[in-house]
Amino acid sequence: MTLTQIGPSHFLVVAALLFGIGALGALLRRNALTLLMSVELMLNAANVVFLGYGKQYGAAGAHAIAFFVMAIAAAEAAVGLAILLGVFRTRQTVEMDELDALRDET
Amino acid sequence: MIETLVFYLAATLAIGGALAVILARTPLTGALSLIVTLVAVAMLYLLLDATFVAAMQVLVYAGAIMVLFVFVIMLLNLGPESGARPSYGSLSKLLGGAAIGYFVVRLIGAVATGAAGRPVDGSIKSVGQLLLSDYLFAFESISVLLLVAVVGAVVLGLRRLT
Repeated sequence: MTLTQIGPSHFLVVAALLFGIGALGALLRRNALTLLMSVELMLNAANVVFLGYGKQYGAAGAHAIAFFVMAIAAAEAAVGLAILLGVFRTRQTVEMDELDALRDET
Repeated sequence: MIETLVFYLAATLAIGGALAVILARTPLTGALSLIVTLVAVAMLYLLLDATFVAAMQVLVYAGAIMVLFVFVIMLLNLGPESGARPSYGSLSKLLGGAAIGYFVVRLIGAVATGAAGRPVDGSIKSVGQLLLSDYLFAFESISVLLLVAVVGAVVLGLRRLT
């Protein structure tokens, strides 16, 4: 792996970094909106991996899979944000640490 | 040579934008940084011969989904201090972060093999033919999924969750 000749492995490294950053954001941030955006980051990293390996092995099916991932991300964002709005209307907060109604009180 | 420059530009923008997303003080700054990341990732797709997916990335992600995010952020009208500090306190979260760092290092080591890559036809014609032949069932299932998501979002938005 050289630095000047760009191959599929370079894209996989970028995808790994993007996924790590997204997972860190999902773990460390308390705001539910930032959490959803971190999930979008991780889905994008998965797409970059699909297309990188599609380029490495000459497989066009990766492009179709990436399209499906995008459609599922759109559905996830729509439902997730609707749930977030419902939570905000009843609890007046989107901080994840304060949404503990299902936590065991004992 | 120009490919190398574009790759490093797009990769820097993508990772810098991603860092800005999780470090942003307000969700709106994070959303705008996420748009930068998404457009940079679309540039990466173009370098991988995926013209159709790159166009969908800009249209669906940077267009539709991020408009939804920004709309909801404006609608919630959170105060500036809301979500300002990451909760670094608990030991389990730090351990989880360390595990992710280890995972990324191992992943980079595992994928850094350096294969050359082959040309792929990522045009809208070839991907469209693939979607309507090999992936026909998944393609139709996606339309049902999107319909369910739209109905679910409308129902969640209408009713008061009590």
